[in-house]
Amino acid sequence: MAALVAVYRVLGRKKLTHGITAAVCLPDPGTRTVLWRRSCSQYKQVTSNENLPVAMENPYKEPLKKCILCGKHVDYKNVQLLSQFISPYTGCIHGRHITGLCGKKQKEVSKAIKRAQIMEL
Amino acid sequence: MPRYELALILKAMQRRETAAALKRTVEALMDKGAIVRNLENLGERALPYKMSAHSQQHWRGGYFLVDFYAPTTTVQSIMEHLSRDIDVIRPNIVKHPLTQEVKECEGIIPVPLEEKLYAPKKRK
Repeated sequence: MAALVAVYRVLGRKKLTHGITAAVCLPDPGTRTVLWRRSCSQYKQVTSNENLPVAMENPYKEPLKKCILCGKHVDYKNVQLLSQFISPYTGCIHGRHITGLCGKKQKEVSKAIKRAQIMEL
Repeated sequence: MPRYELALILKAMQRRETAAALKRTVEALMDKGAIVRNLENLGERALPYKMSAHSQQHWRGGYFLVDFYAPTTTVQSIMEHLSRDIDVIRPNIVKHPLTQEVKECEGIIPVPLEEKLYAPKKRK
């Protein structure tokens, strides 16, 4: 034990655990090393207990909010639908904050509007 | 598999003449090696703006839709042929929209507000 104390003083606090294991190897052969090692390993095994919560996905998860066109195919030919997303006065395409569509759908709609405008529909 | 779609705008004509023009175009398509799948009539209506084609001006037109399978090399020649036709105001060949798969849209993923607070400044 005196040897351990001496080691502690020399190495300092942070390296205590390292010092202990190292010190265990050198001056104390036999049973004492075995006891120390066993206690260290047992200390680690406390965490794997059966009563602790099991990691799983949130079962009360709600389905994500969908935009009005989610899952529906947007065609350049249905002019009525596309005309709802442009301004009646200026004819410019409404932004995402006005239409409230998801990113993909907004892009599809804007592309379809451009196409229909070029093809005179 | 539906490959191409032809949005055809024909001059406003009598029924017999439109029928003859359609027959002519479909035969031309088949000669080029295209397999016509379906022909739809979207009706005759006023054009969104006055168009001039082949030294003539049009206000009304008949809209037709032809979907056909065609080899990729002949599309250019079909377009040229249609542009030479007098009765055709404006031909447009587009890849068939139904062939494009509809991706599953899961919904609007909520963005955490922390990211929005430190959004990178837009540089012009």
